[in-house]
Amino acid sequence: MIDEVAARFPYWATAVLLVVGLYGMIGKRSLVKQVIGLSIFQSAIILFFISGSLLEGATLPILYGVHGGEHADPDDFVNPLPHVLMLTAIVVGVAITGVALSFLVSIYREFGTLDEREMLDEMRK
Amino acid sequence: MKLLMLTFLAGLVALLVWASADLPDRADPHAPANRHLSPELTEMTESEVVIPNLVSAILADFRSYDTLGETFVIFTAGLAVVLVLQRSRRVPEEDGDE
Amino acid sequence: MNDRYDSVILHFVARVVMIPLIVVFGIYVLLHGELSPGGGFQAGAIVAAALLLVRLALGNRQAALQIPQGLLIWLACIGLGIYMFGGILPLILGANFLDYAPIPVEWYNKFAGEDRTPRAMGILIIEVGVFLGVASVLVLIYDLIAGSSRQ
Repeated sequence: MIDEVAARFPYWATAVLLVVGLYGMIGKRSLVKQVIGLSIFQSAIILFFISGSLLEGATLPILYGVHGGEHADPDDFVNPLPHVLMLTAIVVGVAITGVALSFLVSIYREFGTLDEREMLDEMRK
Repeated sequence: MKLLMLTFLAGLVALLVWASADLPDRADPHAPANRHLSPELTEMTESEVVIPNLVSAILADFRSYDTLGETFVIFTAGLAVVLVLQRSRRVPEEDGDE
Repeated sequence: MNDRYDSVILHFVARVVMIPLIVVFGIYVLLHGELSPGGGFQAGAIVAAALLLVRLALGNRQAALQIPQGLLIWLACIGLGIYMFGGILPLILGANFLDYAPIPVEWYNKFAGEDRTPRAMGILIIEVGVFLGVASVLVLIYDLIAGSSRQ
C-alpha cells in the first residue's frame, strides 16, 4: 500500500495542482487571480515532467569524470531531457506572465476594474 | 453553476488519478522515457560535445533550434510589453506640459 | 514601490552586500554553464534579480537612470544577434546552421590555457546571447509594468 502511494504520489499531486490552477482560471472573476491560476497550471506541468525524469539511485546530470576518460553510465544520471524542456518552459512561462500582466495594466486603464463581470457590464453599456 | 463547476473539477481529479495508474512508477529505471533517448544523448555528449553538463549540451547543441525559437519568444514578449504599455503612456504626455 | 524607501540598513545591505554578490554569482553561473549546473537562462534570471533588487531598494527613478529603457531593448537585440552570430558563423565556415564543429578555438585555448572543444565554444557563445536576452527582457517587463502604475 505504502509503496503504491509512494510510486503514484507525484501524479496525484500533479492532478490536484492542475485542477487548482484550472479552478483559478475558470472559477475566479478577477483577472489577476486568473493569471495566478495560469501560473499554478504551468507549475503542475513542470512538476509532472521533473518527476518523470527521476531515476532510482541516480544523481544530477553532470558528467564529472568526463575529462578523466571514465565512461559514463546513463543509469547513474537522471534523465536530462525533461530538465531541458522545463528550463525553456519556465522562461516562456515568465514571458507569458509578463505579457498577461501588461494586458491587465492596459485593461485596468481602460475600464478601471479587473473584475470580469463589471468589465462585461461596462462593455454592454 | 458553482456546484456544477466543482463537480466537473472533482471529476477531472478522479480521471487524472485513474489515468495515472497506467503511467510508470516514480523513479522507475525501466520506464520508456528513461530507456529511449537519454542513454543516446549521454553517449553523444560524452564523445562529441565533451562537456560535463548534460543539460547545457542538450539545450545549446542538440536542441539549439528549440532554444533559438525560445529566445525569439522571450524577445517578442519584451517587444509586446513595450508596445502595449508604452503607446498608452505617451498619449497623456502629448497634451501635457512638454 | 516606486519611491525610495529611506533606510540606511536597507541601502547599505542592498548596495554593498547583496547586489555585487548576486551579479558576480550570476556571471559565475553563466561562465560555468558547461561545467556545473547553470547556463544562460539561469544566469539571466539571477542578474535580472539583482537589477530588480536595485529597483526595489533604491527606487525606480534612480535605477532607471542607470539602465534606461532604450538600452534594455538594445541589449535584448544584441543578445539575439549574438545567438544568430553563433548560428551563422558555422554557416560561413562551411557547416550547417548551429553546427559548431568548425568554430576555431586554437587561439582561445592558447590564450586561456584550456582545452575547450569547438562545440563547447559554440555553446558558450549561445549562452551569452541567451543571458543578455533573458536578463534585459525580464528587467524591461518589470520597468514597464512598475513604471506604468505611477500615473
